[in-house]
Amino acid sequence: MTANPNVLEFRKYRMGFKDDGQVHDLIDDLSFSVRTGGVLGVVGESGCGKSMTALSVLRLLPSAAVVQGGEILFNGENLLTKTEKEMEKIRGRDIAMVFQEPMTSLNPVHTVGQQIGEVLRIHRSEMGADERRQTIIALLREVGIANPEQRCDQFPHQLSGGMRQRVMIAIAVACRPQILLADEPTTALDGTIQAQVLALMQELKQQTQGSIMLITHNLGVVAETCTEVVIMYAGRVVESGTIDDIFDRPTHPYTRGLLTSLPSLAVDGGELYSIPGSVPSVENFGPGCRFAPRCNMQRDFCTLAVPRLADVAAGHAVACWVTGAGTAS
Amino acid sequence: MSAFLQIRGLTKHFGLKKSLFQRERSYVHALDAIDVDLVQGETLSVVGESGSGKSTLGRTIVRLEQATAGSITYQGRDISSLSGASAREFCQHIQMVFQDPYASLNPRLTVGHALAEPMLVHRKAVNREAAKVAVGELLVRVGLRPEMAESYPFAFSGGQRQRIGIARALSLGPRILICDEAVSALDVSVQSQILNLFNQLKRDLGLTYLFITHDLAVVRYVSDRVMVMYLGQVVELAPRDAFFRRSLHPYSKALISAAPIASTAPREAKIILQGEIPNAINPPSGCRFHTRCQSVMKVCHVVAPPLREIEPGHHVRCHLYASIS
Repeated sequence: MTANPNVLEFRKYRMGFKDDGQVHDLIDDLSFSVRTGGVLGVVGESGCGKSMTALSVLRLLPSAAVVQGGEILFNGENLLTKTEKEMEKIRGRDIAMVFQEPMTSLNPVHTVGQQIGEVLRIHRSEMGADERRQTIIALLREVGIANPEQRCDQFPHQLSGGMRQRVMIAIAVACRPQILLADEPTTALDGTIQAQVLALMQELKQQTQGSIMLITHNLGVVAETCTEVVIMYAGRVVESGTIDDIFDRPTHPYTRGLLTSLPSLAVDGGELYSIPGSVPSVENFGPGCRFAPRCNMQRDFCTLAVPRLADVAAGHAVACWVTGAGTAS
Repeated sequence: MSAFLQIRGLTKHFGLKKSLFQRERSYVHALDAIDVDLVQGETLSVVGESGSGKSTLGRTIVRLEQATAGSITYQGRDISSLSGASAREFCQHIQMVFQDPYASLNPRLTVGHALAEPMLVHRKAVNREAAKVAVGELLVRVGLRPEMAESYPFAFSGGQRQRIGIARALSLGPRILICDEAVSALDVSVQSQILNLFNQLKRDLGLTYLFITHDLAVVRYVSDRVMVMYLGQVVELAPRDAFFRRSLHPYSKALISAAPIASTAPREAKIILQGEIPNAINPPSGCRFHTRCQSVMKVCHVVAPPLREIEPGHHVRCHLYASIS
């Protein structure tokens, strides 16, 4: 395989939702890439389309979703034109996903070992039963589960939340995927357990030479685990860049607002900055810049046309008429 | 000076179903002999992970749970054994804001109806007309509009629902507000709005807060004092600045170290604890934290350390420190 600089690339991807015969546009003109070997953070608040972005890659969107255009390239091949058969080969083998809620994504009536084994049975069918069991035990040990021989035969309810998330990660990395999509993987976990799981994901990435797309609303987690960041608002990328670009030189008013509204461990607070209003739902997206109604720098023309994502410096792009190098799309 | 709210030896054990072959019933030790005073006008944060007993503490104070042992004294009056009319009178003084405002609002009642009900029950409003006026004022106080009283809960966003949850808690004019993970489920941009609202209400109404949360950045922002719980016990209690400048208990240190910070500034290496919080049915012998502690000593396995005052106002439950007296 030729070395591809980007393992995953969205090109002008668009999707929406059917509702009463009407299609509401959610994700609009999404373009960004996950660098091979990199950890990309996709940050946004509820309803911004970040989970739909991940599900789009695996082609596991809910039935009301409509893909409206664009491409999602995995190693240069468009996933959107693959057949379901081809996708089945890719899911779990080349692209794997870790979900937020490990209790609801594990099957309660199968043992942990059976669930990890399923991935191996499908994608590594040449493996015999004994070898498979050994592999499962090795995987459990790799994700830091003590007594893997016993745990292997236990059911999800016998494990704690942190251990269940480790099992989910074991399932995801079983076939050494090229990219791991992690959707809020630590949001449901306690602080000290979150630190353990994030450290584990980093360690596995080093070992397997894979890439990670980490979807989260937690800017702290992003600052400590990612190399690049994409900030999404209401279905569009509003800013993208390296960790330093986003945290040291935030440019879009939404990114700035998010960072200044965080209560910080390091800084004593007076009144916290807060972005007025709340995140719009998909039926209420306005024309032009979708952030304009909440923006403290809004001008008359912001709602007239959509600002395109454009570089303000090498690798640092912003979609804003006022602070960016905005041009009409 | 007697404390506004004084908690002594507060213990809550949840009995588990006895299985056929068990001689004795087993218990979840949710709270074990908690001693703490709440000073009027302060914000005391209670920090801990799941299973630490922090929510049970809040629920026991507002008497959603019956304490197994111990006393709760509010303005000199023991409230842990109140019943009937006196219990109803007391619940006006301490109210609770829950994590999920949607789950705590009745979907079939308009917001105005839901807010008016407690005021009518407690005779805070003489009739429906007076209640309607009071509901309007409450909604304005929490940053909503009076006409929103006509809408049902589904019509509101997460942040607005939490504002309604706060309005409901305020409807009886409480002196103490217990906030159980009240901002945890909110989006970042909305969380700061609600934190500002809590601060404003404290200034305007002279409220005292018990703020239960796992988010240390929030703790740092809202608190005067911080209390850390682990497996049903208080392991550290300190003024906020002392806590963040020099936390003493190894568990507190690990918690602070594990909290991710949204900054690219270099940080000290993280303390990553091994293992998970043990089962509260059979808590470990000696110090309950010894199974995960990085500074564990022989004595910790056997002897349970008491909560000791190390510096004025700074208490810690750990064998590493000797008390000041």
